[in-house]
Amino acid sequence: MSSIEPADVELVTPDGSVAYTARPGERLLYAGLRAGVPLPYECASGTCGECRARLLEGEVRDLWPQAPAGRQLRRARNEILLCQSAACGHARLQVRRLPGTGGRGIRPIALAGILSRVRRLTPEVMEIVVEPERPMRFAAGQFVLVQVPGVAGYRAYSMVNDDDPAPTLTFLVRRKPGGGVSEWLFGGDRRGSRLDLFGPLGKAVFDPRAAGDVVCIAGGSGIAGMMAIARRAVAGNGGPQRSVEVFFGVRNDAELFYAEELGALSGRAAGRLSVTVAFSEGAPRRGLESVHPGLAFDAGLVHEVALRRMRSDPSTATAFLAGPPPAVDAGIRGLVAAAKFPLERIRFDRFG
Amino acid sequence: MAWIKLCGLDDVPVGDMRVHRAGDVDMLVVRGTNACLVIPPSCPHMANALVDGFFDGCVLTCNKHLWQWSIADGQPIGQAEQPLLAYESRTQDGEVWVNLEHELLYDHQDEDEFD
Repeated sequence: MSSIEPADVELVTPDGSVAYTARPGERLLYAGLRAGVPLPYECASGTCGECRARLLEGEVRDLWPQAPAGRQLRRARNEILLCQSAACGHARLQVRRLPGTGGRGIRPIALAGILSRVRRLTPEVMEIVVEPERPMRFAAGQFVLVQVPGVAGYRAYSMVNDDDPAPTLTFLVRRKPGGGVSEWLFGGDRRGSRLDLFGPLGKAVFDPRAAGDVVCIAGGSGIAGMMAIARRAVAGNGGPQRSVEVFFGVRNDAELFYAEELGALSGRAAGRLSVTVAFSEGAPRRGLESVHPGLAFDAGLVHEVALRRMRSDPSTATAFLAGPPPAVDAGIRGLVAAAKFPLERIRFDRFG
Repeated sequence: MAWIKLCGLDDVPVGDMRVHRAGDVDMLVVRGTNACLVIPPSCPHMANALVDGFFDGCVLTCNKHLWQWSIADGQPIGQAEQPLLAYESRTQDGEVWVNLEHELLYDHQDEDEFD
């Protein structure tokens, strides 16, 4: 089957059928989300397996046969990942459930962007600024899928900025040996390149209307979305006043970034935002606080430091977690078991 | 129908959970204050190992997406969308026994789910 014509997609769910149209070559997940169908997904980039579905009729093209989540699929049952499959003509699929859109109901769109600025924050972390062809609206804590020239598949990056609508999108990229996108970015001057974007996505978002304090626990580049959440949470914008605690884990002093940005944010928040940097390798040297006004320093894994120092009331606060999966796991465990945080106010999106 | 001795009751402290094996089938023994529940070891949602989750003596929580169940009846609480399956089991003379007819599987594991 050639894929020149738009494809009719029919989804069978426990609650009935839903139909939508996919553009030629378009991923079934993105086409559905774009059409407002609340498909199940978490990473939307081939690692989590949440969007698996069963192909009942028709054919699809697997755009990334090596996707990590492919291991979870039962190929004999025609299971596929909606995020890595493009329809070739009509397709009929079965999903286990339609969980709801989340993310404050902003429908994602596909659009192009230009990589306009790059800034090396540490040897391992780069900040990039992308100009989408149109300003984008998103909730603080959401992410966008990015595809770069010559590298198959999309990667998910959370927005650091929080302006609404946003004429540019700021992301953090960690250098990962063998990681296609990070090698491309770190391997040369890529400014001016055209990128493919799809977003916004993600359900671990800040709701400005909800009362209560905010606790952000982030490891490494997981701080990206927390920057947006913290900024919106202290801004208030006529909503409830709240305290915000940010716990930011890095290995050591040499790997610290965003110290100035976090310090400035804390200064502007007039006592309503505290930032603690946790060093997982060794104790912070003396005098760091005077080098970075507005920041506190502590030694330990970020979730340990957060549990030790957190002052927010677990009975009313909302906690956000992001970072390497083991750090997020440990943070969830601590919040549930030690801090007795109610589960419905622990927010995270899993990417693995 | 085959009743098999799964483990000693003392192998699983009250308020805790352990994986034990009956024949070649792994089972998670969750020991509440008053009762033991013997269940498949993986989450009905995405097959995460439930033993990595949390158990407070009454409620079992999967750490992957925070689905929860009451251990009294295996029924979902909060965000969980599916009940737990459980093996028929009984405790006698300090031993936990299960009735193993076939391995219990959730829909994502079951070949015949949609057929």
